[in-house]
Amino acid sequence: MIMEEDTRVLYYWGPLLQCKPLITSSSKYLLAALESAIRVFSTDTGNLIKTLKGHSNEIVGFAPVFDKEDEFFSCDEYGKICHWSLLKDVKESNLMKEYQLKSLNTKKDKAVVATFLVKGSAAEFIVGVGKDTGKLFRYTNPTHKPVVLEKCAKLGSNKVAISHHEDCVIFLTKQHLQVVSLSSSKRASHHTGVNEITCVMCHPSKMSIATGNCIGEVVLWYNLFKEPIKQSLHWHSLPVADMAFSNTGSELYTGGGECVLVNWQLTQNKHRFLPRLGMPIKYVITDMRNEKIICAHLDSAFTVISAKDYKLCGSIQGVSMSIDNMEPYPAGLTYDPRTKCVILNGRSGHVQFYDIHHNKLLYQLDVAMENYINPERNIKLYNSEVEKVAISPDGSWLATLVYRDDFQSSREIRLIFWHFDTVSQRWTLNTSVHMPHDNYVNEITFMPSSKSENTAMCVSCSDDGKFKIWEVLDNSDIYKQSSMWGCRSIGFYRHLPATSASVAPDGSLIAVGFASILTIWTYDSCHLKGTLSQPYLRDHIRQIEFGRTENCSSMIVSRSDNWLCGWNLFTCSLSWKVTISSTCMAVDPLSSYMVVFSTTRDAYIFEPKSNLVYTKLENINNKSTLCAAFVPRLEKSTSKLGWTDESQLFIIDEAQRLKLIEPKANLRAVEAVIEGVIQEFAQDTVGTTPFSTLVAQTRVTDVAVDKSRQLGSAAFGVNVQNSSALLQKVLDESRVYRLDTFTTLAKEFCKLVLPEATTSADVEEEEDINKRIKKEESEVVLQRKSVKKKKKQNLERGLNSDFSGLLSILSSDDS
Amino acid sequence: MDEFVIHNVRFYDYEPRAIQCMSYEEESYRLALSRSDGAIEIWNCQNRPFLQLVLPAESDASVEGLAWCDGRLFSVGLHGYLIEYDLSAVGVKARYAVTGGPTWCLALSPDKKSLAMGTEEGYVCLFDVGSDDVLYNKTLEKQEGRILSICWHNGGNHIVTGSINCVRLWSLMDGRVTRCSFVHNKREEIIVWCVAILDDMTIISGDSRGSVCFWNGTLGTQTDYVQSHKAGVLCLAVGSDQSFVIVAGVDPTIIRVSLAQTGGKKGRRARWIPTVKLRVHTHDVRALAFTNEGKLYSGGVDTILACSSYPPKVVIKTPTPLYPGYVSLGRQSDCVLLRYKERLELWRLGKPRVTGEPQEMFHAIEEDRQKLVELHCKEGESIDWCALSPEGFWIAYIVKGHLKILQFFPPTLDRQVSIRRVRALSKEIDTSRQVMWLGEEQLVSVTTKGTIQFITISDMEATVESTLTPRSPVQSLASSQDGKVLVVLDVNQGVTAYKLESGQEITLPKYSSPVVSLCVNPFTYDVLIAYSDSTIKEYSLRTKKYTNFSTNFLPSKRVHNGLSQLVSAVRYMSYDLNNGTLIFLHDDSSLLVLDSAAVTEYDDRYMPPNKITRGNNKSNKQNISGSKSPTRNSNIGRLIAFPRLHQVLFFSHIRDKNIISVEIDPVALHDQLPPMLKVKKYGGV
Repeated sequence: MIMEEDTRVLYYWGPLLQCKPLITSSSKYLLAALESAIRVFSTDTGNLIKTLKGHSNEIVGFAPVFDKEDEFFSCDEYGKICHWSLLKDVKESNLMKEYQLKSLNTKKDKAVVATFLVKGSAAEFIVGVGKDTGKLFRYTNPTHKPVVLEKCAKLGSNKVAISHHEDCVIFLTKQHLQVVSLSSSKRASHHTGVNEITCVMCHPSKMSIATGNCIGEVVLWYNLFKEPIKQSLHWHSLPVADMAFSNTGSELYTGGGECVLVNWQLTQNKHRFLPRLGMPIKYVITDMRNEKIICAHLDSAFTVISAKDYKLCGSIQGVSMSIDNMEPYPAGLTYDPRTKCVILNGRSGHVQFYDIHHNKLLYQLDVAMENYINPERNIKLYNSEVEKVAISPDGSWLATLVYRDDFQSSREIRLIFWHFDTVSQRWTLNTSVHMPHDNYVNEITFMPSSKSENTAMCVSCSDDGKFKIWEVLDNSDIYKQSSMWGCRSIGFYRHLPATSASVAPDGSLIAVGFASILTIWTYDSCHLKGTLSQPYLRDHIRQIEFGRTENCSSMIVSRSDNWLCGWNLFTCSLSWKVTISSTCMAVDPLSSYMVVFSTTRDAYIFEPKSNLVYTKLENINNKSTLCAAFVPRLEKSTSKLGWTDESQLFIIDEAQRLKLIEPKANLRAVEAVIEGVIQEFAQDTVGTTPFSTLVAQTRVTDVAVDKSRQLGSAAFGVNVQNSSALLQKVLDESRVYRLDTFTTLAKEFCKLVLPEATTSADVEEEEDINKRIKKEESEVVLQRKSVKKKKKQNLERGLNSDFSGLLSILSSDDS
Repeated sequence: MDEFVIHNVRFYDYEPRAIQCMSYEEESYRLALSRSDGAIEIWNCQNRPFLQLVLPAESDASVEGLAWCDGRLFSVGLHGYLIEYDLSAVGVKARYAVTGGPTWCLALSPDKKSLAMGTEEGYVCLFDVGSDDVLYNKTLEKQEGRILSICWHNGGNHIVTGSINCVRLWSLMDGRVTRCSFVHNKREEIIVWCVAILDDMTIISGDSRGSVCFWNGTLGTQTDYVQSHKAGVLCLAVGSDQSFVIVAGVDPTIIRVSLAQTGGKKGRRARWIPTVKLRVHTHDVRALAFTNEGKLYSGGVDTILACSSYPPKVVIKTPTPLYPGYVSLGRQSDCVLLRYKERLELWRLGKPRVTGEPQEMFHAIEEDRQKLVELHCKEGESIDWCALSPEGFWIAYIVKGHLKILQFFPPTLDRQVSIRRVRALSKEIDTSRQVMWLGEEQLVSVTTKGTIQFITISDMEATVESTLTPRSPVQSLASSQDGKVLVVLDVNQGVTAYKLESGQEITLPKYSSPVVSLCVNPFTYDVLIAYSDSTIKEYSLRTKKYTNFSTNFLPSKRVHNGLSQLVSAVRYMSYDLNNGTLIFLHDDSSLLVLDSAAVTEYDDRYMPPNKITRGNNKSNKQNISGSKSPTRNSNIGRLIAFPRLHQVLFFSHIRDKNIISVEIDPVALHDQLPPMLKVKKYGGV
């Protein structure tokens, strides 16, 4: 069943640092841009107060209106400018006025940076257009044609500054610092030297500017229109990220990668520090009342600092998003059943617990328990990162994997188990296993069935070719009852890397993907029960999921980069497969639905029992999805859509935005559900005869059993039960995990069988039977030949049609 | 070119002293600086700075302030006298007692007619400078506390002084004193080490807190304050247009504090802002001198004289060169006479084991160097000059102007070292300040009166043979190896050559730059003169013209070659004694050999000098640690430069195939200095 639904994507959170945030003139509110919306936070409590929506594109700049309380402008990348007021008596809307800058509404030129000069009602806008370098326009009136100030100015946040005091704009070109007066025709250009300037800021009351450069030096410039006088303040060793003058101009605050806010007292040549702010500073914002300083950190957190005693006085934080991380959220989204929140990577070495229903960060858990290592000037230093997170189904155990590889020394891998102490209501460290595996750990997962915390079980699998089963061991002594985690058993298969693992909902089986081969193991004895593979499935298995509900508990869905396969555990065969380039897959714990996200930014909701698409969500996002999770609803939904009844789907995309995906329940879609219009999305027909299906390449156990039955039915003097017992003996002697080929097994079997079949009658009968068998066999061979032929045709058709059929269907879907 | 053996003399413990104070005279480009032992050096800074004259220290010498006044040099010190120096006679001209005991500072009035000095007891004394002498004028009203620094306002009516905890402005016309007091706590006193006053009556003071304060002189209030240094500010210099001051001190960073207009619409306000930082010195900077050309001379405890300019940032460091008369060679012997402050040492150089296959850079030593004699003078006296005769049998030295001559008998197999003093000195011998041996038993002495006396010794009796009276006082001498030609440089930079046998007197043509060094060819008697702009000229006494070599090759303003690329001026030159074709010269950091024969052969073929330098670098690097090594420079023409890591004090040819190079290790020099200011550095030591 496939439905085209209008999806409603609700933004929950994203990086707030696309442009420099602003403190309003009453210093009560902090404004931060999240794509096209403006988030208004209270600087006192740190709560999100409201979200202002008026833009439809990404916001590139804010500017306050100085003489009106809590009024400000915002500008988006296509030149729309909104005038907002946050005063409470404006009931209907905070939006007061809208402008459109002339000749900026075309789609090809995007504004990168905007800054404004606002004097009473008249406002001038300085807008930069381009990528890293581009044109800088000056709008004296939004409807008039702009004046080009500079053709190749360096653009970016902090690179263009406007002096409200002297009416001049300061910007950077390739090698020079340009000062252009807006009220007169004065213009000056100064050489900047070898060290690239990273940020520019104007003094609020004097004709001087401050620049920060890439070696961490802050230079104060005076006499800008003549021979400049430069004063150097040098404490930082990393590039200065941002700086801000206090409103009186006597103090300068600078921040950078050292996580230290430096306060330069310019009149006394002194400086003081506020160290250990947690994450590198991206922006420093001061208010107009000299009460607060706000540091915006790389992880979208804001630290509120009291200007009077220069101490921390609060923080504003949503989801911690480290925006310069190249591979964000390696641990993905995990649902915590105890607090009903999601667990995801926070600051480096931390995991955060984010209450997704109330939109609130609960806390960050320091997993690595290491100080954040700042990068050095020319060297990237590596911090320990939490790469995998798993939580036990009752929420009492948390397993985290801390990984650090600096590509020089040996890797550090730690598997850390945390226990939730119900008395103190906090996570306590239970066991830390150093080097649980020799190589990168691909997955850790808990057994979903364990109901008490003492029977919890965890599986980890790694590139070193092993998967390990961990369980709670009793560590009690005479002093106290305690428990610890230990490794119970290890499994490996053909020295292939173990890429993925999953535990059946009832806890009886473990499915482990070794490269492209799916293996099934018993949990109790760690015996290999079966291997499932197909010759054309060459991709490494990325994800394995068992069907959760009763009607599909026999199904395993495996996801590799280009394939999605459903395996039936009863028949040990591939029941369906679909070619799809996917990025991730998520399972609803409360229903049978699964969702897979394609690289073409579509989402397909399906049930594991068949390859039929239940719902297709097209183009849910403009960035591909990194990770996703179903989070159970607090209240049951009344929608008739089915798949969102129990849970909501949350995703994080590559731009690090956390989103809730909720389809719109329109009538047409509901009707479609009722009518049950089923549309095949991409499939190859599954035949009815056992041989006509694409049988799994190796079905060691099954085939052996079949053979024994055949022998038994032949009944030529050998007791059927005896023979099957003999066979059982052979099979028992050979260990599951090093199962021999069938020919060797057959040899063993024949050795056992031969001494028992000796009488002449038997021989006659045997001959007779042999003839019959030969006849049968020839028939079977013929049948097999035809079957083979059919199979071959099928396979060819399948291989050929997989893509074309998919494409044609996709295109028909599109149309 | 032949191969030579270099004797690396590194056992000479030359101890340069800390620079105490400085004074620069714009008209004559002369910089006077005093050392911590009381010696005063006169540097000529017209082109490349070089040491022109040394006024030797007296026993109780102390120099706390220096001032030039129309070519006359004055100094004050803790002995409580104002001293005027006679630069032509190289000595003290007159002493005047100052009221108030030990004197800390000296300032010249802008009209150059008065001198003001501040004393320990709090008096400011004024002296009028007459045409030939200095007259006491008056003493200003006594104030509390010693006066450590003084400066005269350009208007001439105000003097500003710095004391402990306050700065005072004295009005000379009405005798009023304005006091500018520092806000300080009782326990810690603020010492004002230096003061200056601008034309608009802005007083600038540098103090022991490491801060520079700016005062409104008419009101006596502090207008600005810059905490520029981490430790005391000892000296400041005002920029030529008064828009900046340069400060330095115990924290050796030299900081330029500039006046910047920072105000806005509500009213312009000028502020003083520390801008350009210059880290030249390692230790306390004691003295600064800023010239009208924009050059800044700085010196301090690390004994280095640095000349810097901005913009662009250019720094030239000059280590203390060897004073004349400190090292003397017996050029026919292999002895070297080294002078210390209170003793003389005569060393015989080692002998290398020459195997004939010089593939190694260092020769094995067959016979080690040997200290033959050590002579001490009486306690409280110091040796001013020393000279060794060419054969090494005679030693002459000067103590307090008195000439002392010794005959030296080198050790032989059956005889110990012995010394015999020439006690019978003729009464005609005047007090001397410079001596030089012309040959064995014959020496020439420059008397303090300005005449040149030729003294011969026969039967242990020294008599004046003849006296020569040059027109101007003598600055330095040079003679040919056989003593037949004497060349005299006078204080007016005129060079005169005397042929002693014929009594002929030849005046050499003058040149625009001052003379740095001169020497005479041992065979042709050509006079070689080096000037401070790195020009070298060779003058033939026979033809009375510049020689071919000089006009065609030697560096002049037109022709640039390796010599003109030298940063510092040539310190010393000598011809080789074998053929007189090689010229050995050196500056502070490299040895140079000039081959006049190679040049005259291919005088048109100009070889790029830096290439030659580079080619020789390799062999030279291996030379550094060895005491003796051959120089392989055959077939390479003209000029060969050997950059050295150590400071080269003296470089000359002696006897046969030997060259002597006296060097000191700057690191060893650094170790002798007092500890420097500890500054915590991020990531540093």
